[in-house]
Amino acid sequence: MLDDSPALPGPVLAGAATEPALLEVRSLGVQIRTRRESIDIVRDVSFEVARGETVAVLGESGSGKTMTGHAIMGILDTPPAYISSGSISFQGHDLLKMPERRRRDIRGRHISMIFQDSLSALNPVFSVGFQVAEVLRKRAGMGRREANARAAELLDLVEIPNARNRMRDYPHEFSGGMRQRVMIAMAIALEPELLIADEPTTALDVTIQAQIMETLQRLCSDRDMGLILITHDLGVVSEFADRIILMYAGRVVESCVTAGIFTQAAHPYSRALLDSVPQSAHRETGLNVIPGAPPDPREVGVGCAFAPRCSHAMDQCLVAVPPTVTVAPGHRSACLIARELADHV
Amino acid sequence: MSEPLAEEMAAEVLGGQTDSAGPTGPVSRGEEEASDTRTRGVWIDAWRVLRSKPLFLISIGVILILTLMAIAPSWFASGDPNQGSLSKSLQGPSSEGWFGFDVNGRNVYTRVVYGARASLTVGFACTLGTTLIGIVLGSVAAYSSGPVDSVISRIGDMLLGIPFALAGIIVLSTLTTFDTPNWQVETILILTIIVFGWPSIARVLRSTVLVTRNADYVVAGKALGLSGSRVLFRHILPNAISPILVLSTMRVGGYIATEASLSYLGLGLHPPAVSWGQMVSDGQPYLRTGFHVLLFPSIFLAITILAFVLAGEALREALDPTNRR
Amino acid sequence: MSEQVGARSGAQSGVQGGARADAAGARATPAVSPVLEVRQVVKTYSVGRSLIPKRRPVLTAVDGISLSLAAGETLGVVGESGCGKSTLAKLALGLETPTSGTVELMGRSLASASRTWRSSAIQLVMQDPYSSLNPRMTVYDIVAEAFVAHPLLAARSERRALVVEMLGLVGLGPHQLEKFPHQLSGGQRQRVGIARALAPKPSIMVCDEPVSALDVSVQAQVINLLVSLQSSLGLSYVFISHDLSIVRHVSDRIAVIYLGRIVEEGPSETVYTQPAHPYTEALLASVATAEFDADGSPAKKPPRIRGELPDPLNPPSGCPFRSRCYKAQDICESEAPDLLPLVSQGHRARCHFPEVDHHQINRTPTTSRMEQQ
Repeated sequence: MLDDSPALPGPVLAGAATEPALLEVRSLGVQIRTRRESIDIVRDVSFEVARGETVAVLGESGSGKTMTGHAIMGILDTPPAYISSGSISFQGHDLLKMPERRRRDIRGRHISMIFQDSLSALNPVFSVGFQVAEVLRKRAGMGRREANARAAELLDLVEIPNARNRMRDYPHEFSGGMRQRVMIAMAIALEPELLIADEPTTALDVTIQAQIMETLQRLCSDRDMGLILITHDLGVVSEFADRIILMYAGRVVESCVTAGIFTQAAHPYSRALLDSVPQSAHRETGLNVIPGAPPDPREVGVGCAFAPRCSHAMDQCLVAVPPTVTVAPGHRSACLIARELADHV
Repeated sequence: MSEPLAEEMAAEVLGGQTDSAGPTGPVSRGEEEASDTRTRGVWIDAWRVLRSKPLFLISIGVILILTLMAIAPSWFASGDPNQGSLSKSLQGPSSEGWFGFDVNGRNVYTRVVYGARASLTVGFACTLGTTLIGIVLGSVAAYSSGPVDSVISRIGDMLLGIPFALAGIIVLSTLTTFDTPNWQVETILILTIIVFGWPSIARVLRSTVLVTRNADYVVAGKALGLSGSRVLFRHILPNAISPILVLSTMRVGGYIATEASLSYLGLGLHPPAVSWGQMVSDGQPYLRTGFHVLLFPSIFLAITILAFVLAGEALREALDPTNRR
Repeated sequence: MSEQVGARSGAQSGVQGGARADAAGARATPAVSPVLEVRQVVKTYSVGRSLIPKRRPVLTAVDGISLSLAAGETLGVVGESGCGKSTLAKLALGLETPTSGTVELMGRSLASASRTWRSSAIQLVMQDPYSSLNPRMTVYDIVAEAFVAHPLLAARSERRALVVEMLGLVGLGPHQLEKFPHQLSGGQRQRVGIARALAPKPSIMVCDEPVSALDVSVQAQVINLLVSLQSSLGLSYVFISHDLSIVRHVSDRIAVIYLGRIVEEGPSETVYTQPAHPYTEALLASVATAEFDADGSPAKKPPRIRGELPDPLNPPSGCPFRSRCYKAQDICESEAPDLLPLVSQGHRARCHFPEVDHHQINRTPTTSRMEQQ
């Protein structure tokens, strides 16, 4: 049961060893340092993303999912946030050991990112066409005419209706969904190999969410682009992700192919999370509730962070962080009773 | 300054995860007066925060000393501020006169001390007046919207276009002569500044009230059946007023300076009254030969203004409970 | 009428034609008549800054909605942002005055009701627990304010005990009394908001997206709390949300709103399992449910809709949904469909081509009788 140490490097998916992963995060730690204290926000997080694969980093507020994304993108607010341990290698090169100049070149060109709030991410005083074209002129060295033509193509590609005529419109003249499409167009302008989407649809209406996710999915598979989908939405994950990295209080508690978490969840947290989603059976019994609230990162003790809310918690859970075990090929869980949970469907 | 910033960012990154911050504030309180202690609680807490801020304590100390100076100048300086001997004209600072002597040989230190009264009276009265009127008219404008709002806002804009100094020149030169007693001049001066000064306060308040008025807790208060005035005084104003606290304290200096410039033009207070503005204007022609005549009243002016600004800023921070843990 | 009394089993539309007939008689016994009745309510706003009032474009936020809520019942209101559901909530709470139509609480017109009476009859739980509590007030002050607005409910000396009682109802302890909102977690803040709404002892609560700002693991706590409060205190809920799966869980009936109109209404299981209107289908398809088939593949889904919400200042002619509808025909452009009853009881849809057929008998031009309810 204790055969895998938590920080053991190595491929998660059987057979993936032959081809190096697009992105490999190893034992990543992120701290926030203030005068008074250092708070671990991300602890010992490892996962990888292959080309063309959509990996969902799933978690609630304070789980460290956004910080993980920012660390990969290299846009942590330093200070107060620092990478305290681990490595992030992109196509075999360690991003953390690179000079800042090379890192900047990778950002946008090879790894790019879209954010939840598209209104504040776009500059209100420039037209969207100008903003998309500017990326191409500044980073791809295109001339004005060429950049404009390419920008129109890109806006067309992200399914903005009548793209050519809307180039001259300003961000506030677009709906939230259309702005998010503009953000996607800017993010893929330089044809990156990896896209990080931080809660890309959370601010949008449900009927629009699915449309945006479908566009993202199509672009990723057309370009063989890796996608890290940072989200709290189990529903979005179930439909669009290939694999899930479930985070709780800064740690990965379970990682598996998407169906795995729904069919044989091997961590009490993922089980409880699935149980708390309303389903027809709950009408009579009431929803299954996880007591308490996600912990303050300052208050996480030495043991399993979920133990105080866990119905299976034992004394050992409070002593040390449970090691990560492999319950099935490509399915890992950081729980002492992971195997029992996985077998008990 | 970077450390507090870092902590602020840390707090932001950590989100609202502060519920386990431990017991805060006094828990056991008398049951009968529960409601009243609670309101006082905010101020008690604010005082607890303020007490530990050295900058606030220093600035309050400076304001207290200046106020005392204005009330009882004879405790701080002996002698008559208007009496001087020409033999000492423009003498530099010495043990005899710490701040030196002006062109008429009058003791600058004594005059600075006696000048505090006029300057502080103008500063205090104008701040109080503009803030009160600004708050009332600003919230009326924001609350009523429609024609009342338009009228208040347009009148405000009109008044805002006229500088205090110009308004003061016009009003004082028409309403006063050289024989008008100093207290009348001062009253007219204060009223003029208030009339022309409230719009900037009202304007800021109007916009913050407009934002706060749509806050969810205001809707909740209305749904609870609270009266309009309760919603205004308990929910809207306390949350809309913090920019005013800072703005008002920052403008104290402006009011004192207006009095100074009017005195400089010979329209403000005249001898035997003493004011810092008058002293600055008196000293201005002797910039090269007697720099100290200009320097010391200016320093006092600057210190006063700074003290008010720092105190206002500290007060605003202390009254914001989200700054407390 | 008796079937409307039952809370969970009362999955009947309280707006049948028959209910209208004995409404006058039912008013004498308030337990039977609807606690909230919204009739043909329209709310328009003029937007823009043109000096000439007639030139200002008119936004119709709520366009002739009729609803009723029986005692102990939960009515789910579903729609996307901008559909008018929040305006509807404000109209029911008396925070906005309808442009036309009436709102009645326990048989009494809201237009003539006093602020105090109105707020002791109907209360509000808001979406965002971070902005719905005054940051400068302690938990005690926030809840005790109900007694400031309703001094007859509690003498000054009893207030503290009552506030503690209210906090107890929502699962908060007396040690939270002196805390400020920012010292609480999102779930705790939402509980304070619920305690504040409970304090005036209302019989109706409007819950406007009460859990959508909360963490997934906390949402279930708050929903269970609301459900248990309903049965212990006999409350009636109007539960507004964009999330059909949550609405189905808590509601007896569901009304789906699109561009200020009800497009479908019925018992919640019927609406959820046999949606008749293409918009309801689309909402169901878009609520990415985490349900998987046994083999691990995602559950089958109805077709999605394309496009975005049309400009509410310039809605499409005929059926407002036709611009996004996969079923749209010529008739949808020329003629606005009415809200007509369907085969199963209490189920109505505003569509020319519903998934489940309309009662043939009602497919006549003179459908205004139904519209008047």
